[in-house]
Amino acid sequence: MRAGKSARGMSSSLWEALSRALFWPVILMILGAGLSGCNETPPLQELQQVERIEKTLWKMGAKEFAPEAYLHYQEKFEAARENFSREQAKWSVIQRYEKIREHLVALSSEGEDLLRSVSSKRNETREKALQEVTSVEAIAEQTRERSAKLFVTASARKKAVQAELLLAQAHRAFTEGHYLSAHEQAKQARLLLEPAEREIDATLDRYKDRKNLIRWRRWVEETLAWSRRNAAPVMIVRKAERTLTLYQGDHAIKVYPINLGFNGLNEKRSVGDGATPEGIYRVILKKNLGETKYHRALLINYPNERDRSRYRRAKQLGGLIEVHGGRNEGLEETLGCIALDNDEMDDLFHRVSTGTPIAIVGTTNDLTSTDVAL
Amino acid sequence: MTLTAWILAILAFGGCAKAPTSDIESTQKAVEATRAAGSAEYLPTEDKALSDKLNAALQEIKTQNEKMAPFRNYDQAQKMLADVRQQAGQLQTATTQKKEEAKQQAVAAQSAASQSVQKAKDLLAQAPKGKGTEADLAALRADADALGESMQTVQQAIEKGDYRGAISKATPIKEKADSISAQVEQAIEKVKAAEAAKSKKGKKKK
Repeated sequence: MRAGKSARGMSSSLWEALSRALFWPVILMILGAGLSGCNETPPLQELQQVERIEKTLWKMGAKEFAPEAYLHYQEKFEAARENFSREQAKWSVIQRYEKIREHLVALSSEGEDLLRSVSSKRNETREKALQEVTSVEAIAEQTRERSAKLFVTASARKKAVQAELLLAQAHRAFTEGHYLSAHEQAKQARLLLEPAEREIDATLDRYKDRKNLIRWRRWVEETLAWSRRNAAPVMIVRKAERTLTLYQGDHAIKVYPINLGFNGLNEKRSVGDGATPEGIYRVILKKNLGETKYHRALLINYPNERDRSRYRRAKQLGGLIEVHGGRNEGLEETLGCIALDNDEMDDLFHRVSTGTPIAIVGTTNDLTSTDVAL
Repeated sequence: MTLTAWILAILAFGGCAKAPTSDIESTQKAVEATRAAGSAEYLPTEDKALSDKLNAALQEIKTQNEKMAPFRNYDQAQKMLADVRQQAGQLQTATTQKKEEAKQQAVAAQSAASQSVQKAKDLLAQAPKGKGTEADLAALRADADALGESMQTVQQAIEKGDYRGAISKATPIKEKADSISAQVEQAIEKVKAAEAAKSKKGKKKK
């Protein structure tokens, strides 16, 4: 019984010692929890401000306009949030938010700078896209107008259509605020318009080429010289001006408006190309009423020797080029012939004969701008 | 107070809370499912809000993880995760609906464009061939062919699930095709008028 009493006494002392040892730490923990209200306030407002900036950056498209800087900012924001959480997790008595607050304020300032930078880049991108779309639309409009009057090959035409479709998409993208896409689509449309533009320019450049002008003037002079020598009328066709002028010597008797082939402004090189030939020809046959479906017609000797020697490699040069009526019957363009109104054709038909020369030239006017040709 | 009582008090005070890992996994799966449905494309603002809420919930869990074990409490985190799962479900439904609407609109736009292109081609086939119209009609035929080829890009966009892209391609195709049809109809009218004038002249002469 004495041993039992002694053992109980030892155990009791041990418990008392342990209780004393643990008493103060527990009291301090409770006090600490109670004293947390006396410590520095966590920088929640600063954290929310950084969060707001991050959301605004996302809305403004920072991922698109400043992807690296935005990612970097997001990483810094995440790190700041983790530091904040770590500090929050500490015993309130030892929480310290000074450095975290400073860091958040700096991050907020950095975010404002990035916002300004993104806004500026966005505006810059918008301006560039607007310029490109507007510029390409102007080219497309010009191409549309010019290819309505000038011949463009099917493949160039196809690309021009694709360009139009892309431009419409670029417009839509721009309206929806997708400036980078709009810019890119407009750029692609510009490339697709180039083949048509090149073909049109090649046609029109002939009319700016001095060598051509000299040659055409020489042909006109030769033909007028024949008229002077033979005291007989001759015809001069000026394709750019779309006129056929009847001359007697150097004197212009009458000017007739004409329509040409669908590719009339170019020089004829092969069958079916729709071009109206250039050179000095003669009337070889007169077709009266009932002898042609185009009212009256004057068949000329195309291809002549010059055509044959120049286009030796062409498989077929074509033929049956006439000056005929039908222009006033909806014949807006021919397959290469020269069309007059029926009453004008009546007038011309009685003034010329088989053998009458006809010079077909681009123009004789060196002030002719390509607008005249169009 | 005995030591046992102190230890029991501490345990009752602190608990042995564990991070809700299964909740975290199921929530992340719910958000991924929403993304896979296309929420970023069709409802980007809501997608971003959901992403931010998930990050906030995960941050709350991290905060609790940093604390000493007896003081961890994941109740708030679990509420936040539950909220995210609910919103993810709603967003997925809304996204699926929007996507389906966009698909229907894309298919309708494709059909309308296809019909317009076919109409243009049919008119071109019927258009009277004549010296004065041949070149114009040949040009318009080339245009209609280009539109027909472009219809393939619409189909490709639909197959890829890019419904908005499909609509943006189909709409200008339809507009261009309608323009071609109008031009062909004009050309046909012109030819008819010219033929009428010709036959009137012929009758007069007689």
